[in-house]
Amino acid sequence: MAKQKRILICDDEEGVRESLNLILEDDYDLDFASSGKEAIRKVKDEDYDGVLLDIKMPEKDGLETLEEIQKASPGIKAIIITGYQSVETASKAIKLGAIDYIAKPFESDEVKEKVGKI
Amino acid sequence: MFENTDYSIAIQNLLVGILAQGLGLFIYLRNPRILLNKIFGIFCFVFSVWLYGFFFLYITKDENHALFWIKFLYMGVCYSSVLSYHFTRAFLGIKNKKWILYLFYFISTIFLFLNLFTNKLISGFYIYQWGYFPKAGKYHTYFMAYIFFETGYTLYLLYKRYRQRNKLAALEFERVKYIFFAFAIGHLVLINFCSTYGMPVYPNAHLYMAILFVMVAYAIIHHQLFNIEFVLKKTLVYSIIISIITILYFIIIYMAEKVFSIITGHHSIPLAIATIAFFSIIFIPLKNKIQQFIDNRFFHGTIEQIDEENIKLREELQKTEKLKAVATLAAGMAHEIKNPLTSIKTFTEFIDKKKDDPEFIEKFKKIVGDEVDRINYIVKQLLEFSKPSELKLQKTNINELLDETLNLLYNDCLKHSIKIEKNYCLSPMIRIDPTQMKQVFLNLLLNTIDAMPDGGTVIVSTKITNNTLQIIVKDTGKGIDKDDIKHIFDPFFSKKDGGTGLGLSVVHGIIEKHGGKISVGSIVNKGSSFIITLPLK
Repeated sequence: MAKQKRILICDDEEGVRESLNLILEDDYDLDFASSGKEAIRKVKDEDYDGVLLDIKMPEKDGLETLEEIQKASPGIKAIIITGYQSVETASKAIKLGAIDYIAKPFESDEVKEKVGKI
Repeated sequence: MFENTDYSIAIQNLLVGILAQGLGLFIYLRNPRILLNKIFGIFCFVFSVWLYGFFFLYITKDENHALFWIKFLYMGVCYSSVLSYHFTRAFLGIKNKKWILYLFYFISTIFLFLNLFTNKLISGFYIYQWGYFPKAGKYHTYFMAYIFFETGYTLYLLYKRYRQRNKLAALEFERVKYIFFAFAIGHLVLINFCSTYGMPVYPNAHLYMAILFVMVAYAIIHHQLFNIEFVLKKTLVYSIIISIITILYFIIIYMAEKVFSIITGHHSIPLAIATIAFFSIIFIPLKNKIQQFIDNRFFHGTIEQIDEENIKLREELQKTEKLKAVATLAAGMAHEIKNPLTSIKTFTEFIDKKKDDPEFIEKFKKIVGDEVDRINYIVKQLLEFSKPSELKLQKTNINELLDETLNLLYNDCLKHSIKIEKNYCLSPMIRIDPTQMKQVFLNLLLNTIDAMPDGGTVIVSTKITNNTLQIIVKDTGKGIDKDDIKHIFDPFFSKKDGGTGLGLSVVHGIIEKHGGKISVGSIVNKGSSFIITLPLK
């Protein structure tokens, strides 16, 4: 059996973490962080193939977290999760190395398809 | 000596002059602190000098008097186009290139001197079927070129703003449209000057000026939300009172000048000017008594209506501004709702697949239940916000309220590369209306975002000092001009393209209702600080 890819899910909302768990648990080895700081610490301590990051989080937002994660683990593939579907936010995320973004509320198929790029 | 029998043109000039002065006085007295109102008042006064001068010119039978009134009316003509330009600058909010304004005033003053003390501007008079008319002097053509250039430049500025329709709010565009067409039509009065060169063109182009005054006054008033019937009524009363005072005024000047000419055998412009100045000085203390007399005698029954109108206007003001804030709030809340919707949507999608999984069922009940409550709370907040504005005091944590407001504006700050710094003290619970106070924070923070279109920092702090709680919102934006700071909380004062000028006025009103104060400090190009002080109770 092919080794499952390891994905870190970072969102301050428990409901969103649980939702992504439901969608991805069968296909991926999942880990969770509830803040940007926790995500950065985990990426420094462990190996992940990809990370799903919420944009809006208290203290450290998704874009700041992404920047630091890229420094800690260059080449890690990141997907931004956002409630704000703005071109500016998307383009900022792409410039920081995100490979795609998922808009809330998301469709399960869309999540699977985009995470499949990791 | 010329015996004129046709007074129709004289009466037209008199009536348009009275209209101009009545409108100018009404707009000025409405709010003398607003620059635009001041300039419009002076603009109307200068044109009324022009028009009254023509009235007396057309009814005079004496050549010497004719020369006197020609020089008198040209005092108004000399400053008419520079005041059109000055008014346009104030209306469009143009602050730069002030040197052009000073230059125009300087040139107008030179022509004024040429008018009063030489015959280079006006060399005499023609006699037409309608009466005496000014005769162009040696420099009159230069004067005409100057007026045409100034008028053309003024219309160009208005037209330029008119063409920027996409950048203007609907109401602002309407105002610009009114002013542009009013000035384009009104300046057709220049046709009258053909007769100064010996061409007998019947001089009724001053009627275009009547259209100008009415349209400009309406553009100002309409924006300030006054009831037009009330305006017309008050304008009519002012016009009648002004006409009585003006006629008395001119009779006194005329008599003084007549007595002088009988005694000395000469006519004297300086004496006329001195008489005008003397009576103007006497008029200053009388002005308020006259205003009071008019209000008590003619508007006593409507004082209560005016008070009611003011209260209604304030409420309208607050409602309008609240609607804007609701739109921003709705955008922020729409995002807040997306999180719970995400959870509910995903969990319900998996019901079929996971209905026999007890762990899933437990999570479903907890998460979906919590998220539905959350959506309910968010919707309730929005409804509370849009309700009428009576204060509903409750103990509130200001720091938490600030955080809630900052959350709503998170995306706007992200979009504009604005960093938020928070510096909170340990805030006690304070009795405020959280919904209205949130509107205050929203307005202040929206202004800071507007002040930093290319990014910057917002610092939000709270501190306790002398039994009061201070909330400080500081930005590193473009700052506020020191001339504008004193008007920053005035209704309809706005430096923003498309701004209504209502936001800070509403903020001020809400803070006052809470028994608090708001102040502002600013340095241009460095940033501004708004400080709210609330009593701790």
